Amino acid sequence: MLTRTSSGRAGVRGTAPIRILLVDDHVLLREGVRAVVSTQSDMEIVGEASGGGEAIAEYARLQPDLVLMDLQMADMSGLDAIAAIRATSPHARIIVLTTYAGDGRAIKALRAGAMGYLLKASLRNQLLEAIRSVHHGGKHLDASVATAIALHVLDEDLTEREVSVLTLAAWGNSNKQIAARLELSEETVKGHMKALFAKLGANDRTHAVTIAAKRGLIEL
Amino acid sequence: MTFLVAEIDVVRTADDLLIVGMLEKDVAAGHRGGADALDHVLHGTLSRLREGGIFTGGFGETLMLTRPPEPIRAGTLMLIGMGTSLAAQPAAFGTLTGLAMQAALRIGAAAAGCLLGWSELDLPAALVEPSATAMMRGALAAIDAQLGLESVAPMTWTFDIRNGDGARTATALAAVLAGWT
Repeated sequence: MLTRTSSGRAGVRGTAPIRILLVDDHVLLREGVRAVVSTQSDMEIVGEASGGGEAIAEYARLQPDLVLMDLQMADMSGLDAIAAIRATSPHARIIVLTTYAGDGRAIKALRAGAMGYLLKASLRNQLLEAIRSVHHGGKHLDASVATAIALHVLDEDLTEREVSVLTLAAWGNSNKQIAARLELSEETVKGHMKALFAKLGANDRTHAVTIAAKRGLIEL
Repeated sequence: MTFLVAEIDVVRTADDLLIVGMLEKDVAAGHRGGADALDHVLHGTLSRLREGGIFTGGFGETLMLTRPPEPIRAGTLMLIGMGTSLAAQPAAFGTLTGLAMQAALRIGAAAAGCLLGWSELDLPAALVEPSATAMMRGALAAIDAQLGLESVAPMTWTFDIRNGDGARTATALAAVLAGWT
């Protein structure tokens, strides 16, 4: 055992606080996060936004060190906002705060440039650690999300068309109705369904919708 | 601050932070030991994250995984990328150890275990001391940097050693620590 004491060598915190933009359409969530962050001397909320479009504008105006981003918002999804911000600021550091534990949205968010993915249910324990890790250039995931990602990250992605077909199926449309809505032949829709079943490991359309919704591959 | 040298049981250790080094995927097949044991327990989660590009293993890349599942008892896992190979780069071990120590200090870990995987490599005998020296210097530099900002809470830090050179490694680590002022 090698022991040395470091007591008595403490200095005074002197670095600038981490400047955070908080994006969520729920006021109560924003107030809760602000309350937690306000207890820390090395970070501060410098701006808030309630939608994706406002987030992009506020990011450009404030140039924060880090963004805490909800995924589901009325005017523009968090995924689209992440992509837009990273398109103009490739080094932007963004942590997703979400209720979705499924792999679909997490993989999309990380591939869009998010560096952290936290579940709102565990914010109390993980938020501050995640902010500091990501600010220092690391990535941060809830391990349960990482496990879900690992199960499917090597799977073949659903195509945009397959997502459209399955979303319409989720709303109760028959193959014939889906074909009409998407201006496809019914045989083509059946082909997409067959491919979806194979990719998702589903037995039928109900099973496919259930799996896709649970994994965050379709929006309902 | 207490430093230990031991072979860490990656499943049973209940440290607040367990740091695991991972190489890039193109040479990952040659890796063995602690990181692979952890990946096995996690049913391939770590290697799949790497294959899927979520964590590539690039030098200095880090990924914190909080609340790992049973039977892992560590509070948080930290993956740290070691690039393509560190076999003959003692200074690189120092850099990565510094990153790991910074993370441990940031989260206020009371106990941290560090498996950079260097002790699993076929390290030439002549590089054992230089590598150990670089690691300890990296750790102490991170502590010094933190001390410039605020106080550092007591922590037990374990260097994982499993290459049969534990005694030489411990001696080299102790020599650097003795000179720390």
